[in-house]
Amino acid sequence: MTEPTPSPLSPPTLLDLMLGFGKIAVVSFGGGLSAWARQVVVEERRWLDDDDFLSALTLCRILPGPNQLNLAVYVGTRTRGFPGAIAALIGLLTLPIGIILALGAVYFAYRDEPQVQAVLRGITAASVGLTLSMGFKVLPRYKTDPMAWALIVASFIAAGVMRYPLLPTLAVLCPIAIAWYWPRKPRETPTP
Amino acid sequence: MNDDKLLQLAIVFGGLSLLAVGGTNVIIPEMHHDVVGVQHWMSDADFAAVFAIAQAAPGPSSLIVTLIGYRVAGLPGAAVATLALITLPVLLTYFLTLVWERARDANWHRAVEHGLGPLTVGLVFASGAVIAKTADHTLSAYILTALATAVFVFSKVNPLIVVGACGLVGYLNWV
Repeated sequence: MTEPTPSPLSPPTLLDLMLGFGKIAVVSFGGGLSAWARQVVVEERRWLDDDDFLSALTLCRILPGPNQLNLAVYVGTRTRGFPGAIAALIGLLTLPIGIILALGAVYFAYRDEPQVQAVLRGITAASVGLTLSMGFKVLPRYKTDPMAWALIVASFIAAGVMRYPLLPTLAVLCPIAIAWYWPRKPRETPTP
Repeated sequence: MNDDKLLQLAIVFGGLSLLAVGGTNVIIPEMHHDVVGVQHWMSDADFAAVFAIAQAAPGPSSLIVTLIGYRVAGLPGAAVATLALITLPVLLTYFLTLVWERARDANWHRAVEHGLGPLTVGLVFASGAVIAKTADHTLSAYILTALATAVFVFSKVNPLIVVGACGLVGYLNWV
């Protein structure tokens, strides 16, 4: 971990990218996709070094859209340009799309069965739990930051309680948040 | 008629994709409003179900749009909805990847990263709350949700195991 990651031996082929991200999709069944992506991209295949990968994760969190897909696009673009981005996406998405369509077809065929509805009630509870846990896991990061709490509460109430449309909500809250966290003179820099 | 639906899918999910700052989980309340309330593409129960399937299934949970598209217009609908959700973010990521190395230490990058974090957290909580309400959660379902949340936060158990266990609890008609 402490040793610098060796630089890439040679750029991957499009097939390498597709298979690499296909592997990430398979091994991350059940979650932890970012960690698995790092394992494959940095450790095994050496397509990016550690710094580059972390920087990529930041970009993919900032950009709109599905984070994991953005990461595939970043890695594909850095190594093989636009065709690389498409190859990585195809690798990441093919199997999950097949699986979800199969599950969806089963659901819509049998959704009126009481037993199917009963199982889904349980799975829905787990899914809501999984979603909420994503928020709870990062909460400790903000424990000394009152402005972050204000933003969390404001966005939750706007979207979850008042059900305001998202565009005006973001149009108000994003500029406030970005202006507040704009790096100031060293003395005043808020602790992240 | 079907072409109209495909066009609507493209417009709705293409627009939503650009609001998904911090990932697709933040647009679930808005998506619910558009899909159930405005377009009447499916019922509350179906929306909660496709959300649960997309969260529980392997792969990105953004594939909820694949299921909505499938429901609305079959396999062509699934393809259009998926492409509509990913095309604009993919192009944006592609172009920003090309300039990202130079912008690494820019002020805006730090401000955006720190500022969007808390907003994303609040919106993710909102998504959980909206789905719980949409699914017409009973008291026992809220308790199961709380238990599942605690397991996800405090342990490293594979989520698929928790999903399976909760499905079994449902099968036994305990929720």
